[in-house]
Amino acid sequence: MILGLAARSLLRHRTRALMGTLGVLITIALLTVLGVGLESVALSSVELMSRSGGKADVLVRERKGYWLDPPFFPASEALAAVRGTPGIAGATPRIITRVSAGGQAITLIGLEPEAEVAYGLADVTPWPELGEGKCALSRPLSALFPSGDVVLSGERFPTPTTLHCATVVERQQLMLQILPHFVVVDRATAERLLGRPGEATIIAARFEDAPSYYDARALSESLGRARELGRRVASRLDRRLDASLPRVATLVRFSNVEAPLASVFGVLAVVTLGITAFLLHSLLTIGAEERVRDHAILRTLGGKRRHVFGLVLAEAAWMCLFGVVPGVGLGVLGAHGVARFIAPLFGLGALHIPIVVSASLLRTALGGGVLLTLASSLLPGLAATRMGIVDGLDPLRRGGLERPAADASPRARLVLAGLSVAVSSALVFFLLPAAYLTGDVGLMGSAAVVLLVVMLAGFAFAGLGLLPWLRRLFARLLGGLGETAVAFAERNVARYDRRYLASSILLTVATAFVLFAGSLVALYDRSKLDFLERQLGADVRATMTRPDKLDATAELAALPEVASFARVTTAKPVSDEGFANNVVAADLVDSEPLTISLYGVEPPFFETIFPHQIRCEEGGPEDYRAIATDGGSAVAAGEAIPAVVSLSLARTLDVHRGDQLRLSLRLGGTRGEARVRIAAVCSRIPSILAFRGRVVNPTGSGVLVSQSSYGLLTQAVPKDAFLGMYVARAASADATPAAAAIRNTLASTHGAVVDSVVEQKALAEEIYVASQAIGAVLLALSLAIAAFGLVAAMAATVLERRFELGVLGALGMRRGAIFRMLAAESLLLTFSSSVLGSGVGYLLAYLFAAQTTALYEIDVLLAVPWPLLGATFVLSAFVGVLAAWLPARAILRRPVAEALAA
Amino acid sequence: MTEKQAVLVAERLEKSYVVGGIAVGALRGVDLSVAEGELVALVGPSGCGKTTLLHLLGGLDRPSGGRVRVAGVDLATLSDDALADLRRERLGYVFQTYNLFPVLTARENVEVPLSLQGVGRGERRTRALALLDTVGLSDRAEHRPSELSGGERQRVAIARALANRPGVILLDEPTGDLDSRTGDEVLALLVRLVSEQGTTLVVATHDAKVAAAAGRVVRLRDGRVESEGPP
Repeated sequence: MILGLAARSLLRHRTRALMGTLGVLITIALLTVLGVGLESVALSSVELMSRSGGKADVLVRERKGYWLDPPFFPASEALAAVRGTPGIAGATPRIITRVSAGGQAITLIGLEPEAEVAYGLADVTPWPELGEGKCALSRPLSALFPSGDVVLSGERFPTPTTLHCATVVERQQLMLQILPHFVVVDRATAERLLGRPGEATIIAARFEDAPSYYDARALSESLGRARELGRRVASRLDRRLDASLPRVATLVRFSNVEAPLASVFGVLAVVTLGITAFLLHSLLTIGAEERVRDHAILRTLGGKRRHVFGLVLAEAAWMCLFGVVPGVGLGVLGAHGVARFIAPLFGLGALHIPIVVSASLLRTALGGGVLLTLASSLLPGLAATRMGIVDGLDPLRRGGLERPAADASPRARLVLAGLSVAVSSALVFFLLPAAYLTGDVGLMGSAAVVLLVVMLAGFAFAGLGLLPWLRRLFARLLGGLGETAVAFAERNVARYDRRYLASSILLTVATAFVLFAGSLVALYDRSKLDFLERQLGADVRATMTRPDKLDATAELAALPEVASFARVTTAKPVSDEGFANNVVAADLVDSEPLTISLYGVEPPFFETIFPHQIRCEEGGPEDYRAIATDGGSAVAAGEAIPAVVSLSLARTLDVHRGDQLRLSLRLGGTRGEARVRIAAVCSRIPSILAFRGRVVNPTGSGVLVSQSSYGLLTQAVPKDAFLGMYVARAASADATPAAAAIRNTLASTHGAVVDSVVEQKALAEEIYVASQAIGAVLLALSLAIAAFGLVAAMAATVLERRFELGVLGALGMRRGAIFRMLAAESLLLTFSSSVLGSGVGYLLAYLFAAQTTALYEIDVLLAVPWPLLGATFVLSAFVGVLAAWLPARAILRRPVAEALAA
Repeated sequence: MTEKQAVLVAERLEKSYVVGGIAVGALRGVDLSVAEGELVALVGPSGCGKTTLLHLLGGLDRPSGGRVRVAGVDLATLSDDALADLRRERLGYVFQTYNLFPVLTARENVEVPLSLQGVGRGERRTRALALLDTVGLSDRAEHRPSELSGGERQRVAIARALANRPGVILLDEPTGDLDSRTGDEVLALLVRLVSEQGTTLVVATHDAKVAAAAGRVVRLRDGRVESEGPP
């Protein structure tokens, strides 16, 4: 009966029911699209990413050596240790080493075909035909040897050997993809060619039931089990050997990206469900107010308060049911549509992401519906049960009855607001120290989200206090709609303030949410564009990854696309051999020693980097340029070396330009001493992020000397401890050709990773445009949901005022004028809420961006998402007119007499 | 008439409202006793407290002073839920403005108290149709209130009031919104109820015909009983 009565009541107010149902439907559909999409992408990506790590679950190699050319070790003992580990299905030795073919440096891969296939490790496509005198060539290498015969030579070869190419390999996942030129042979051939019988460079192993270790639904737990098994393997190996888990490492990198996405989805889900719950709450409140007489009749007939609550709950349940069920279906269809039609537009068509709809997702969607039902109906339901029967039966006397217990009753709203603030603050109070101490990013994020929500609520409520003022302002701006119309509109907005307040909050929160997201992206993106110049330092930066190939001066000098370039060198704190290598700076009385990062730069460094990104607090261009040209004479003479130091260091050690510092260079057991004279103090040197201003964490502050001095100071440092990069200025205004030329020259030969500001900026721009488009979609959906509330509120108040509208008509007010009056009313609501929401959203985004970037000493540039802001106001105007037109159209069409009889 | 025989008793009943911050006394010490099977008419000018008295007698509102007993039960001692049970089981209401659920049909309106009583769907339907037959509306059972005339609506309201076979029915201006002929029909129905089923009726009315049909007339003025006796 209750369900039936609720259903009939909803059908009687179809517009309102439709608005509520559509709100739930859109929300659930949106969240389902995102949820299904994320889960499907996660599952596909885990599969894809784990594959990109190769099919081997464990790789064993010698600790020392360059990963592209690992050292040989005796295979049998290690192989037995790996195979004997419980949980390992099988293991096979591999040889991967560098050789020459026709003067070209290539990679030789030696495999045991039977073992690779038997253990499911084979990852060469197509699988090659191997044997005595046969080999397989990669497609690029086969192009260099059209005859099919390839002559291999190298320092490890006793004699050059000719092999016949039996297979052309299209794809391999045994090593990094950046090496296009490789030859595959069987292990026996490789051993014979290299003269290394019984040796290998790598042992590849496979887990038993491997897929269970890479389960996207419980990634963290399953990877933990994989690590445990990896540790068991490592513990059985000789101490010179290391065990690595390539697929686990790849997935951890992926999960570092996926986890924040899931968090963002969680926040989005909470916010959108909150907005929708508020919409339903607003609709149910209006419904409960209208049906107060029905509720009173029910109680007159013997119904209890719970029956009245049940009626309100049932109305919410119907709207949620009709929203959630098709919403989930629509969401799943939408996810299919995105995968099929939208993904190809972004060049992702080849991914073939299979859409996965899990039971847990369906349960979550249904749970969301139940939560929506309960959350939205709680307050209206309770309010409905509190209404007295006589009050309900006779609207004219409603509220006129004495309420002797009113003063003594608890003030529920005050209690609720107070508890919300207290609980939120307590949550942050307990979360923050734990997050700081454990370094748990998730906890920090949760604390930040709670703070944000509290801030959003605080700003929104403060702003709501300003709404009357904003409405007055807009009333003046809307004067063009007619003085009488606007005057009536202003009075009616005040008259129905309580009912419209819910719509205003809904619109404000929806706008604030979208503007927050849009502004955050805009602020980060614009700031990132600036930060990119500081991070990369010059038009192009090449980071050298091979310690044996740090010097690329000759290659760069030969490139006409490059106007100038400079090498920057520093050293790792621990070398591959395991020697500690650190530099400690102290003032001359050695009062506060500080571990620093020492850099050497070549003379054109300061002419190559972006000059506007240099920020020096003490000393000018002539001072810092002078240090780069120092030829190392000071080191040779035992004098103080000119150096540029980080402001954080200068502040910590309380030293200034002209002062001297003592450097202690420690390398294992050896120790060197030097003095530097501070030529300049800088808080920002582009390309070297060790230059900063904060004294909170001064360890690792930068000290810059000339490359010559650096070389002399670090003579004892082993080669494998050095890190190097080149910064380059392009010869033309467009740095793209220079970046391409450097990449082509250094990527494969020197293992250089080449980045250019212009390319990174283009990428950032693409992300910005895409994010603004996503923001626009979110805006449209959020405003649509909020608009449903406004339409319903307007429908209720217009219906109530049928008689008044009839009177206005009888007095000679034209239909157009009456419509303008109603439009002005809703426009006052939408515009004031949009301005308020935009302001709150932007302010929050700026505070958030400023806070997070301040940690990294990045300046936040003021950036306003103008397209989104413009869209907000256009949509606000549209929603305002629509909210007035929908209820007015039927009433204005009817004769005045009919309205007067209402 | 002794209190033992009375099904409805009001003792020194008071009710005041706060209007514009000023307390206004609607009832000022009303004593009333209604016996089983009696038809009592409450008459008096508008604002004399007739409706307020009905509300208090029916447990729809709490008095500011005094007490009400229904079948010997002091309403002041009942919890909110117990009061709801009493309304459902022992009392019926008929209002001047009918107060039917506009979204339900005539039959469904009559079924509401039965549903609240926990009566099963089939029996509910049978009893509702029988009640509508009693009031002469069996052919209008599936019509909504908006499709019925004023008299028909009032008869549906009476059928609904009878649904749980209450001992007492309280009627607030049952003929107030009806034309003379329809009012006569409704009155005849009420008289028949008293004579055939022994139902106790308390009717607040301005209608002289209704007052004339009552066994006793209680005249109210300014919240007090001015007089009572035969019509």
